[in-house]
Amino acid sequence: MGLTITEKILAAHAGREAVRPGEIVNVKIDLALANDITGPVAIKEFYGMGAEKVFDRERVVLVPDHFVPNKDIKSAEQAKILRTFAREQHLTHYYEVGEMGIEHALLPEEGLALPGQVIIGADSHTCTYGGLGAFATGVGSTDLAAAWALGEIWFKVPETIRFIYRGRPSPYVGAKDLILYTIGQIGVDGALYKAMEFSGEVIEKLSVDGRLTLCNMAVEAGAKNGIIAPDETTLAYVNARAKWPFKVYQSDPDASYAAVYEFDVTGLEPQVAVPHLPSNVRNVRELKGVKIDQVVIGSCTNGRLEDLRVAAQILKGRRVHPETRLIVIPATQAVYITALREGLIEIFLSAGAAVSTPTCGPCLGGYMGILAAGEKCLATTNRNFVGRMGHPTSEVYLAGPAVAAATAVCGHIAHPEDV
Amino acid sequence: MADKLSGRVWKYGDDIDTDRIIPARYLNTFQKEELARHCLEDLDPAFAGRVQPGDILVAGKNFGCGSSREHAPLAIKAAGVGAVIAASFARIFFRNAINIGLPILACPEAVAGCETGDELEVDLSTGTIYNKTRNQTYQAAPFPGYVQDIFNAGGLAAYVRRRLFESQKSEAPRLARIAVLKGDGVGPEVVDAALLVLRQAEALAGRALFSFTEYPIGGAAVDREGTPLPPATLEGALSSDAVLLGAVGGPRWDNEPPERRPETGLLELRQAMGVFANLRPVRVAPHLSGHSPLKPEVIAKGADILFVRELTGGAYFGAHERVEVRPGEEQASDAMVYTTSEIRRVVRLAFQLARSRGRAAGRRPRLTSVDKANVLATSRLWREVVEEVAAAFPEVEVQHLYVDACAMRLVAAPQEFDVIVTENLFGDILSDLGGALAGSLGLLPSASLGDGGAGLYEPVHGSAPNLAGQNKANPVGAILAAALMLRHSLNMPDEATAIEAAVAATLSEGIHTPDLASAARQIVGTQAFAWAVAERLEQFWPRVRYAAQA
Repeated sequence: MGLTITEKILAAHAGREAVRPGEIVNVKIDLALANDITGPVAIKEFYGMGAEKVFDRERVVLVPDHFVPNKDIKSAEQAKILRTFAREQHLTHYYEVGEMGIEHALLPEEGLALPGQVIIGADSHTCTYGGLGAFATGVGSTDLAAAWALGEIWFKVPETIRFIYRGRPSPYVGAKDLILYTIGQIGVDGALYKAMEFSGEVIEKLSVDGRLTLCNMAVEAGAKNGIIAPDETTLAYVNARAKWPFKVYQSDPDASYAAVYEFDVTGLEPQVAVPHLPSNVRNVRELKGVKIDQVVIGSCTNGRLEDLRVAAQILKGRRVHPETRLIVIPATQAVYITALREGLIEIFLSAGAAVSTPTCGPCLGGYMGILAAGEKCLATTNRNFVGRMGHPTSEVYLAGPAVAAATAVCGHIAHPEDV
Repeated sequence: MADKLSGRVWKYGDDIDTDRIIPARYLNTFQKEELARHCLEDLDPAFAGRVQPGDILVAGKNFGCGSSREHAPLAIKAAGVGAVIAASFARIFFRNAINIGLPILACPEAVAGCETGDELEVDLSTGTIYNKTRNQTYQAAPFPGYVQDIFNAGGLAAYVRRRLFESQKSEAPRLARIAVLKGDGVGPEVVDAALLVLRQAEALAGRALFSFTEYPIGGAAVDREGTPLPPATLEGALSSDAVLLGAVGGPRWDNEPPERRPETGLLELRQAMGVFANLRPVRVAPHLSGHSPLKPEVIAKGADILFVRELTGGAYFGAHERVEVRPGEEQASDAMVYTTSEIRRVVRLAFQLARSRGRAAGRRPRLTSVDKANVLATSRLWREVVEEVAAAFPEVEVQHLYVDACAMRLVAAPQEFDVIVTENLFGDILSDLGGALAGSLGLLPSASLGDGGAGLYEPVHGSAPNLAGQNKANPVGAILAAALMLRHSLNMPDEATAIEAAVAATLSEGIHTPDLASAARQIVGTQAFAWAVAERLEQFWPRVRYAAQA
């Protein structure tokens, strides 16, 4: 019986020919990352374990991105712990303000995250790198600290659920709509402890930016990882950047799956997840007229160049509705500078948007766009839990950049066609 | 952790996410008391104030979904909760809870049976839950064996501590394996000088860092084994982390057949190692600019250029043909051939190097790609690939120059250049032109890199047989090659920078070998120069401090 891509990567890193779902395996790690929230806890645990040196100073990556540039004194102290550790350990890949971007946008861009790798990160959206064909999953700080010390981590090999997408999606339907639709179908624990393998003609046509978006939200369905087999599109992207040699894996035709879902997405409309779970998914037209106080375009889910292009196309020559605020956050410095050169930033500023330096800030209610009591926000982010972006009575709607831009112009949730 | 506990139930619903357990606005700290104060604040503002030590949190399915924040189980534990019982747990929360020692039990029956305020008794060793209020007993799913192991070890931290202790007992720290190929002429002298500096680096690190193994190559190998690249040398080089080479060749072997020529050995070694990029940094320090053949007004401010030359393609490796097209008229041709992937890998490396040089030097990186795209098809492909890769490095300023224009600018305004990347033939010519800017070949190192980190490091100069054995050769090229080795193959960039700084300091004090006699305050031999560098290494050596607690 064949193996899935997830099983093959785990087997290769466990020094085994094959592994089967349910087995516990110790695997070598290619990358182990942390941010300014989870890093300080991991650092404390790391030294507390009696460890002195990280297993490989090139492969431990630190990205202060959540509350950085520092939002307050406590955040500054946390960022400082990260910086001090990076210097003590002579880490090659520590990204200071001015170089840093949102970690899950930055690592693929820097050529650090590559196909076939095992990547762990003390951040649940580490699953993003599955978009490049890596096995990538979020862990807690103590797990990460142990991995920093040992260079390996244990996993239970997950069962894989295969998702096949066919058909011709309508214009304005992107990767975000596909993943919201999928989570709407299976629920926030629909893939609990499992691998989500995305395939089919619709996925093949997605850009790398789109694939990263898709895998980014696998964790919102409870999954251990999301993954897309590398193809020409992936290789064109990583070949221009790869920092290290890498290996490409594909699922065998006779691999076994816990379940297979086939979705025909022809005629699928843009999707919006309404409060307070990412699985509360509606067709955007059902929500027409819901008044929105703030729109955020950015995050590790939708802050990449393609997302900004989609938003700019709609915002060009238009203005943000007077009763709505629009905040645009390019995910990395490279996205920012390219958007600047392409004229996207000018479009956003002319439309009346606030454009910020890269940060996770508003997505998790940190800063740079906190909501007051009762306010409604439509965001291209990934979670709409109670109080996620501010006051416990505020509300978050999740959507892709096209709906977000259209909503900013209309002041209420809108289909991009209706702008 | 106690095996048995009892307490009152606090019951909540399905999908309680980590934001509700501890809102992100409190993640600017991981202080326990602070986290406890805000535990479950957005779900039940009364909870944190009223929860009693040992109380039991009961919830529906998918408890702890959302973020990976360890602050969530930490907050619950710090609030005094004795255990969490849920129908199911989100994956990361489950691992985190176990790792920090917060007891968790998955038991849908208990969740269905309990209400807020019930009194429970929980036996953690058996997973048995007794509801005193309702006189019901529930059985939680047992922990998988591996989780039990972590519990038994006293948590993940204790498990890691034990593993680290065992590995410290069993293994000495891994040493970087370096194949030392001293070669011919002045090769052995300059390599010995570089080794002296590397040994000083070990002394400063307080432990062995390198394991050196010497192998013969070039004429010396021909004399001993009849071949310029003996099998043991090749095997040793391929199984090492890096190769440090002196120089090969000399008049003694000039009349040998091609397969016994010392240079053939080096060529074969490069091919076997799969190195595809040759790096030649050329640094003209302002105080040494007097050695440069350029006028002071051009070079007085110095220059700092990194040449990246493609090493495996182009005219040197295409078909070489010679035919008689008609009697007495011969035609010769050399095919200049490149594929996209051959170009891409060297260009990508050049961009990565430009990026890291820019970061280290605190300036915007600039990359000049040199071609002859107005004439050559290979150059047009080259230019397209550069443009493609450039999109991935927007912070790097890219410039295309024709090779003729580049040659002109290199002597007219060398400060304009940062990283230059070009194909094999152009690179061969331009890197020598660039080398001449420094005024002495003895000052220049070179590195040849392939995929995956292994590399070949050598001084640019040749074996200089007329200087051999006289302690006159300039070891700077070899010492700087060792620095390049630390940076590019051994992942010791700070140590590499320290060696470069020590060399610069030695030179700037006017301590020179005879080739730079005109500017010298003190003329020294090869080994004495190396000692002078070694003595100065300490002041630039990176200080590694490992705090006991962050």
